Amino acid sequence: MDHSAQQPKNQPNRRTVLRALGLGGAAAGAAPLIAACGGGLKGSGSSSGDVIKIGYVSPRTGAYAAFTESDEYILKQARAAFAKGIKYDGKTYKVQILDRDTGSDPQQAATIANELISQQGVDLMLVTSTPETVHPVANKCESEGVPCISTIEPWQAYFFGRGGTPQKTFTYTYHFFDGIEHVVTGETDMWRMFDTNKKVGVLWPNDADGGAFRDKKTGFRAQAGAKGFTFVDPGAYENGTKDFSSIIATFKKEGVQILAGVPTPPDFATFWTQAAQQGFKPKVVTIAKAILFESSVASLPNGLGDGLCTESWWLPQFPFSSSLTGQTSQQLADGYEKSAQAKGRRWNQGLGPNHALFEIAGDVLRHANPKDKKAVATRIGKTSLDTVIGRVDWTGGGAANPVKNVAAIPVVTTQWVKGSGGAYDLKIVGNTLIPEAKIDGKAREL
Amino acid sequence: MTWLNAIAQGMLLGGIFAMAAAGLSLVFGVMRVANLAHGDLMILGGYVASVAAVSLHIPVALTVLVSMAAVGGLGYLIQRTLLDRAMGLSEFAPLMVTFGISVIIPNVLVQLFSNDTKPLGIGSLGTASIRVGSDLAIGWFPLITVVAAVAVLAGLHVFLYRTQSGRIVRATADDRAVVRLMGVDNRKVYALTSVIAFATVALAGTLYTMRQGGVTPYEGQLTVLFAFEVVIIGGLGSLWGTLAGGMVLGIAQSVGAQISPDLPLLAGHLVFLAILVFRPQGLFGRSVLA
Repeated sequence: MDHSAQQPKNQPNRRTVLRALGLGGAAAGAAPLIAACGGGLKGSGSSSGDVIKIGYVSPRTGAYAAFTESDEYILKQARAAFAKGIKYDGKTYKVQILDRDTGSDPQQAATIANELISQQGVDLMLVTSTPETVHPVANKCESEGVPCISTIEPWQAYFFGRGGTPQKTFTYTYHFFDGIEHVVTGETDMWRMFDTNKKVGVLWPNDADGGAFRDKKTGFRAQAGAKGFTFVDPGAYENGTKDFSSIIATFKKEGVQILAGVPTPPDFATFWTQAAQQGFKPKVVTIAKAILFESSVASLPNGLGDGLCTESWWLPQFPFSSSLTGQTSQQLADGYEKSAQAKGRRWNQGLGPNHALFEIAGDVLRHANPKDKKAVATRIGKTSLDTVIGRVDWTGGGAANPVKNVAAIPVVTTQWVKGSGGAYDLKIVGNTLIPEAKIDGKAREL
Repeated sequence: MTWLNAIAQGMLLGGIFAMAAAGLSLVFGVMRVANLAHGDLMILGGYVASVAAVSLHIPVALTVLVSMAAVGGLGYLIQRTLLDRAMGLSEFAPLMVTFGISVIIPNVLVQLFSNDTKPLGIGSLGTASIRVGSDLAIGWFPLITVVAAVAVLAGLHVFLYRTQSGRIVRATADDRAVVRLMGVDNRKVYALTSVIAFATVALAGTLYTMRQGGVTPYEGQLTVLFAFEVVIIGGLGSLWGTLAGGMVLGIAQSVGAQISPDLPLLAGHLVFLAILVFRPQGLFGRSVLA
C-alpha cells in the first residue's frame, strides 16, 4: 500500500505541536493514526447517481486565512456557474460543491479529507493554500484514489515534499503554482537592476517552504538565475522567533546588501523592525509569502513597507480572463471588491488561483466521465487551459510542466509603493516571465 | 561585543515576556487557575487598542488605557459570570473555561476583522534606537517596554504588600476559607485580581502590537507558552521572579540564536526544563506547592 509509505511525511509541523502542547491536547498525536486506518475505498471506481460532488478544502480561519479571504465570493460564482450542471457524453450531471474549513490545522485537514472521501464520496477534490493544508488532503486522495487538484504552495514543496521524484510520480493528485525557479528568475532580475556587492542574506525558516528553498539540489541556490550571487544563510530559524539580533548581526558583518526569503508575516515584521533599529539597511529586499497582502505591508512600523519587493502570481493588471465567468482579471478583482462578500476589503492574490481551481474543475469534468475517478485523474494530466491566472498546462513538459503532476505558473516582480494617501499599491516592475503583463512602475532602491 | 549584544537584546525581549506573564502569575498565584486564554487575551488587548486608534481616532498613546479598561472590564465579567461558577465545580472546570475562551477569542476576531493585520502604528518611535558602538543598538521602544514591565511589577508589588486590599488578596491566596471566616467575600477579591490581571495583559498586548506594528488573530498561542515558562522559571507567587523569569527566557532565546538560528525556542525550553528539574520552586519561589 503506497499510502502507508506516504503517511509519515504528513507529520505535524513544529508549530502545530507547540500549539497542541499549549492547549494540553493529546488528541493531535492520534489523528494521523486514525486517518491512516481508513483505507478501504481505494480504487472504488465510480459512485452512483447523477450528482457530481466537488470537495473544496481551504484554511478559511486560522493562521493562513489571508490566502482564502475571497473564498465566499469564489464559491458563490462557482456555484452560479455550475448551476445548470455539467454535461458529459450527452448526460447532464448536477454539481454540488462541499466547502470545508481546516482552521489552518493539518490534522483537521486530514480529518476533513477523510470525511469528504469516505462519507460524502466526492468525485473531485480541490485544495488550496500552504503545505499544511494541501499535503494531508492530497496524500489522502492519492491513497484513496480520488482525483485532486491543488494550488498556492511552491510546486517543489508539493512534489518533492510529498516524496515525488521524476521516476516516482503521483497518479491522482495534480498541482498548479509557481516554483522556486520562477521566484529565482524574478528576484534575481530585480537584484541585477541595482549596483550591489551581490551578497544575499536569506531568511529561510525551519518549515516546509524554508526547507524547499534551502534544498541544495532543487532549491534557490540550485537555479540558474542564482549564479554570481553569494548567499549568506544564517540557518533555519524557528517560526515565531521573537529576536533576530544574531541574524541581523551576521548580515551586517558579512556586508549583505540584498535581502531575500520566505518568512511568515509576523516574523518578517519582527525582523524588519529590529533591522531598522539595529541599522541593517539592504539596498534591495525581495520577500516571498510575508508581504503578499497589503495589510501586512501597511502595518510595518514607520512606513518600512515602502519599496519592498515580492513575486506576484496574480494581479488585476494581468491580461488574462476566466474561462468560467468570462471576467478579465481586472473585472474579477473589481467584482470581488464590490461584492457583499468582500466586506469592503480590497482584492488579494489568493483570488486568482482559487478561482482558477474551479475553472479547471469545470474543464476536466466536461472532458472525462465525472463518475470515473481514474478517467478524471488521467484527464487532469492532459489538461491545458487558459485561466484568469494565465495558461495552466500539465502537458508537454518544459518549464510549464517540469514534472508529471505539476503545472508551473510564472510570476512577475512587483514592488510595494506607498501612495500619497498612505495606501500601498503593488506595481509591476519586472515581467521577464509574463511579457504580456505591462510594467507599470519603475523599480527603485530602498 | 556580539555576545553583549545578544544579552542586551535578550533582556529587551525579556521585558515583553515579563509583562505578558505578570497577569498569569497573579491569577495562578491567587486563584490557582491556569489561564490558557492568557495569550489570546493579550492579542485581544492589541485589537482593542488598534480599533481605538484607527476607528475612534484616539491618540495612540492613550489607546493603552482604553485597552486596559476594556479588557479589565471583560476580566470582571468573565470572573463573575464564568470562572466563579467553574471554580465551584471542580479543579479542571476553570481550565476548560479558559481553554474555551482561548478558542473563542481568535475566531471571533477573524469573523469581525478578517485575518488581515490590524495596524497600530507608533511612527518613527517603532524603529528609533540608541547606538552604542557599531555592534550594539538599543531600540527605544523595546526599552520603553522593559521600563513599563518594571513599573507594572513594582506597582503590583506595592499594591500586594503595602495596601489593605493587597493584604486581603494575599490572604485569600493563602487560605480562602479563613478569609471568608473573617467576613471577606473571596469572590470580590477574585474579581479584583482578574481585573488587574486582565488589565496588565491588555497593556502587554498593546505594547506587543505597537512593537510589531500590528496584530493578527492567532498570534496569542505561542505567547501563552512563553508566559507559562516565565512564571515557572521565576517562581510562583514572586513578582520579581516574574521579571527575572522574563529576562532569563529572553536571554536564553537570544543567546541560543547567537549560537545557531534554529536554537532560540529550544534554548528557552531547555532552560525552562532545567529549572523544573534542578529548582522546581523557580528562581525566586519560596517553596514547592503541595
